[in-house]
Amino acid sequence: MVLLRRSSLAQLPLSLKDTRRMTLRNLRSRMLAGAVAVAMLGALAACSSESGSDETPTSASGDASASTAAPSGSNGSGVELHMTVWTSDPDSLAMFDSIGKAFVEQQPAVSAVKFDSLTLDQLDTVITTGIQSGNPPDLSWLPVEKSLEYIHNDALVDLAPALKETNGYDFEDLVPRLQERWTVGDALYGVPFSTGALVMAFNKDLYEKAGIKSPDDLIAEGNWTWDSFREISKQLHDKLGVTGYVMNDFDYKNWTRLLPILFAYGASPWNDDATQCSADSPEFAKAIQLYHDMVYTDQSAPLPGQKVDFWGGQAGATTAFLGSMNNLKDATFKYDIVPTPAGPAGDTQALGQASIVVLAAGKNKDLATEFLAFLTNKANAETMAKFYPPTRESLLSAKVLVGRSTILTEDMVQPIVDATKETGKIFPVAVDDAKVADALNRSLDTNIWKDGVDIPDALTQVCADVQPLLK
Amino acid sequence: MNRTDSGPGQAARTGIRYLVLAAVSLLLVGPVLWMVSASFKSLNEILVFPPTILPTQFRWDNYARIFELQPFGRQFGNSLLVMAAVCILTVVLSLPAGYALARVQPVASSIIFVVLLSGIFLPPEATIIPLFLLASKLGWINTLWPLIIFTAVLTTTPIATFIMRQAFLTLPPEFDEAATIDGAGRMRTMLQISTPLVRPSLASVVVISCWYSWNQFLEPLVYIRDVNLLTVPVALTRFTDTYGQPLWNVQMAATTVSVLPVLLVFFFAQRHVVAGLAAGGLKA
Amino acid sequence: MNRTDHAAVAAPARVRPPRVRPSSKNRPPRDAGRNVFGYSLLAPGVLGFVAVGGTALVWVFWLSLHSVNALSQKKTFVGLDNYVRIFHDPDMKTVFPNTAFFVVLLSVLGTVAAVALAVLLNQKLAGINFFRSAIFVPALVTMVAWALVWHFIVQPKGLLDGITGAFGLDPMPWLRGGTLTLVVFAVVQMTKNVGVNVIIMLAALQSVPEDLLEAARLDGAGAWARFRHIVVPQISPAILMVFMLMVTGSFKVFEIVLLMTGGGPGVQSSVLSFAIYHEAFELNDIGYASSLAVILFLAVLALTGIIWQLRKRFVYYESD
Repeated sequence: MVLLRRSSLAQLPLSLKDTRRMTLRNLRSRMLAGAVAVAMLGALAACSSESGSDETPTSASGDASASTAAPSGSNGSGVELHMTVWTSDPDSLAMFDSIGKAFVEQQPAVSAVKFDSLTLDQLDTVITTGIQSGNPPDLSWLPVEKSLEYIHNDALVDLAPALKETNGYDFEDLVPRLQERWTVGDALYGVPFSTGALVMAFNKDLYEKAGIKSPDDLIAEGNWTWDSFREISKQLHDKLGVTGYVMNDFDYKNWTRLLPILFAYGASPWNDDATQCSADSPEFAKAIQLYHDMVYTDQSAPLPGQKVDFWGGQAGATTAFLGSMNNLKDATFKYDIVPTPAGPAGDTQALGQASIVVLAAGKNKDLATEFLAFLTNKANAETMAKFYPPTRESLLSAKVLVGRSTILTEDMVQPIVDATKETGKIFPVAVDDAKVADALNRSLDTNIWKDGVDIPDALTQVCADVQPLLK
Repeated sequence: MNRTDSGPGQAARTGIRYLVLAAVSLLLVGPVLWMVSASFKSLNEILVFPPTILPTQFRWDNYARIFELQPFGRQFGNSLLVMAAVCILTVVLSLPAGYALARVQPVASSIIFVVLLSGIFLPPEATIIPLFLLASKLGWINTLWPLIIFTAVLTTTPIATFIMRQAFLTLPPEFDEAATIDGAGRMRTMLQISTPLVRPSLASVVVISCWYSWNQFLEPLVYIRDVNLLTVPVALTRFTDTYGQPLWNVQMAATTVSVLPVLLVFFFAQRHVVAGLAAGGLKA
Repeated sequence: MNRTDHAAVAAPARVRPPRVRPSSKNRPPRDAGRNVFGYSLLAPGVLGFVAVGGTALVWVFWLSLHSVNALSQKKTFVGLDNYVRIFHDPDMKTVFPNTAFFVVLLSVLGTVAAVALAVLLNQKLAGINFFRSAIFVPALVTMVAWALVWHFIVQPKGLLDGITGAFGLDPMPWLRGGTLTLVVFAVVQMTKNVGVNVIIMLAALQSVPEDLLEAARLDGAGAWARFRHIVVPQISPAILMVFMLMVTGSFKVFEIVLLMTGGGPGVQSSVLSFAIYHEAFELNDIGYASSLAVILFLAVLALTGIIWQLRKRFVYYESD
C-alpha cells in the first residue's frame, strides 16, 4: 500500500515536466494514473471477496464409483454450490463443511459446497439482491416465519418428488405435523432441520438463596402454571432484588418470544389462515396482562431496553431455544431446564423452526436439490441432530437430542421431546411476515409496553395496526 | 481575544472558564473512559446496578476474544484500505476541480459549482437504494468497490472540491499570471506553484475524506455480507455469541481496540494535528 | 455566482490583505484553451459525480413510481401511489417532524456550541492544550462506537440512571420515545462531532487579524462589540462551513437510531433516513422506500437553496 501510494503521487509531477500545453488526452492519462492506483487498491480489496459464480454448465451426475477420480478441490471443473446459513459457530460450520465434502466425493458435477455465514436479519436482503443480480445462493436456511411469503412468491423449489425418489431417504420418517408450514398439497418446499421448543432454564442457586419454591417444586406439586411462575418470580425479586424472569432474545422487539405465554392462554395474534387479527381477543389480553404485570407491577421482569443477562446469573429464569442452552456451559450456578409453564389452554410448547430450501431462482436447482436430499438424509440428519433438534420420527428421542451435550441430560430433555411430538405448536406465520411482524412489534411497543395501560383497549389499537397487512 | 482586565473579577472568570471546560471535557471524554473500563468487565458487572466505575477484576480475556469471534485484524485492514483509497481518489478528483472552479473558471463553471455543491447535501440515504441495485448489477455486492467508488465520487469529492475551491480563491490573482508569464504551463502552475500554497487545505481534505470513510456505516451495512470483508464500524455491532446474543464486554473491548490506534496517533501527533488544523488547514 | 465573487474573496481583511488588489480586470480573458483546460480538470470529478449521482436520482425516482416485489422481481407501475401513501401513513406524522427537529436543532445549536467552545478554547489559559485535545477525542471515535457506548450509559438502570439516582432522581425512560429520546440522540450526535467543528472555528478565530481587534479596542469597543462586529464577520466562512457540516451531519442520526432504539417505541424515535433504510432493507418495500428517498432529496435540495441564499447574505467575503 505504501508503495502504491508513493507511485501514484509521484506520477503526477513527473509526467508534467515536459508538458507545456495540456491536451485533453494526456491530461486524461494523468488522471488515469491516479485512478489506476486507486483501482489497484480496489482490486486488492476485491480479491478477497471471491464471489465465485461458476457458470460452468452442469453435467449429468456420473455414477458414484467415478467419484474417486473426480477432483474435489475448488479448482475442479464442477459447479460450486452456495448455501447461506445464519450461524457463525465454528463447530456447526465444520460439520456442514464435512457433509459438503462428502457430497462432492460422490457427485463429480459439484466441485465444492460453500456455506456462507450471515446474520438472520440480512437473509432477506441477501437473497433478494442475489436474485436481482442473477446470482442467488443455491440453498439457504429459511426461518418458518418466512415460509408462506417465499412459497407465495414462487421463490422455492418443490422438493417432494426428488426426496421421494432418493434411495434410502425414508421420506415417511419426516413427522408430517412438523412439516405443515412447508407443505402445500403434495408439494414440500423446505425440509426442517431445526425444530426447537422454547424451554425454560432457571437458576437453582437464586431460588435456594431466596428460600422459595423453585420451578422444580411447582412441577412436583403439579402446579406448573404461568400464574404460579409469576408468583415465585415476584418473591425472588422481592427477596433478592434480582430480575425474576427475562425472555432470551426478546428485548421488546421480537413478539415470537411471547409465544410460550400466548399459547398457554390459547392466544395467537391472528387466525389459522392469517387473515384476521386476533390480538384483541380476551385470551391474548390475559396473556399480555400477565407479562405486563410482571414488568410493571411486580418489577420481576426487565423494563424495555434494560439489559439483563440470565446466563451470567442475573435472573431467576429465562425462556430460550434448546440450542441456546449451550450458553450454560460457562454457568457458575446450578441450573435446571424444564418445559414452559401451562396456562388455561393447557400444557403446550411453542416451536420455532428453520428449514433448508432450494431457491427457484438458483442456477443449479437440480444439483442443489440433490445436495439437500443428501444433507437431510437419515445419516446426516442424525449428525445435524447434535446441533439442531430434528423432525424425523426416528431421531426424535431424548438420547439423540442430548448427544454429547455436557449441559443437557435425558431427564431434562424427555418432557421437551414429548411436548414437541404431541402438544407443540409451530410459530404462527403470516404471508407478508416481515411487515406484519414489524407492525405487531412496533404496535405492541407503542401501545402496550408502558406503565398504566388498559390492555384490552390497547390491543384494539394493535389489531387496527396489524389487520391491514393481513391478507 | 486578549483581555487586559485583571483583579478578583478576572480570577472568578477564569475559574468559571475552567469549570465549563472541565464539564465539557467530562461529557466528551467520560464515555470513552467508561468504554475502556467496561471493556475489562465481565458481562455481569457491565449490567450491575448501581454501576461500578472501575472493573472489580480486569478481564484481559475480553480482548483475546475479539480476534476469536471475528477476523477483526482483517476487518481493520479493510477499513484502512477503504480509507486510503477514498482519500487518494478524493484528492485526485477534487484538487483539479477546485482549482478549475477557483482559478480557471471556464464558461458555466458557476453552474458546475452549484451542481457539485448540491452533492454536499445529497445524503447517502437518499441514493442508497439505486446505488445498491447498481452495485448488484455491477457485481459489486460483497466487495469493497462501492465503499470506495460511490463514496469518493458522490460524497467526499463534492465537499473536498468546495474546500479546495475556497482555498485556491484566497491566493492573489497575480499568482498564476506571474507563473504563466515565467513560462510555466497551466498544469505546472497548478501543481507546482499553486498547490503547495494550499497544502493546509489539502490536509483538511485528506482528514475529512479519511474521517468520513473510516466512519461509514450504512454503506458497508448494505453492501457487505462476508464477515471477512466488513469494515470496523459494522463489525463492532457483530460481537455476539453463537446464538446471536450480544457480548457487550467484548464489543466494548473491540470498540476500544478500534479507537486506540487513532487515539494514539492523535496523542503523539496532537500538537501537530491541532496546531496544523488551527494554522489554517480548515479555514473555509 | 457571478464573476465578481472571485475578486471579492480578496476583500481587505483576508489573510494577505495588503498584497491583493480587489479587482478582476487583471485576469486574462477566457479563451478556448482556458476552457479546455478548465473542463479537463473538472471532467473526472464532475462526470463521475453526475454519472453516479444522476443515475441514482433518475433510478430512485423511477422506482418510486413502482410497486416492487423484491422476492419475485415483479415491478408494477403505480404512478404516484407511493407518494399518496406517504401522506396517509400515520408513521410519517412522527418521522417528518423528528427529522426536522434534528436538522434545525443540530445545525443551529451545533454551530452556536462550536463557536462558543472555540472562543473559550482560544484563550490563553494554563493547560488549554489539554482541553483542546479532550474536545477532539469523540471525533476520533467512530459513530458506531460512540452510539454503542452511549447506549450503555442511557439504558434503564445504567450509568446515567446511576448518576441521576445519586441526586435523588427517579430513573428516566431515556430511550422510550418522546422528546426526551430525541434530546438524548441530539446530545449523542452533537458531542460526537463538536470537536471537529471547534477546530474549524478555532482555526478561523486564530486567523482574525490581531491589529483589527487592537484598533477596535483603542476605539473603545467592548468585548461583545468586538466579537459581534469584527470576529463574527471574519469567521463567517467558517461558520457557514460548520453549519453545512451540521446540516448534512444531522441526517447521520440514522446510526444512532438504528443502534439505540431501532426507531422505537413504534416509530417515535425514527427519522426519514432510518425509515428509508427500514422500508427498503428490512421490509423489502423498495418502491415505498424510494418515494421516501425522493422526498428526502427534495427536502435537501430546498435546504441547499436556503443556505445558498443565507450564504450570500451573511458570509462576509462572498458579498460586500
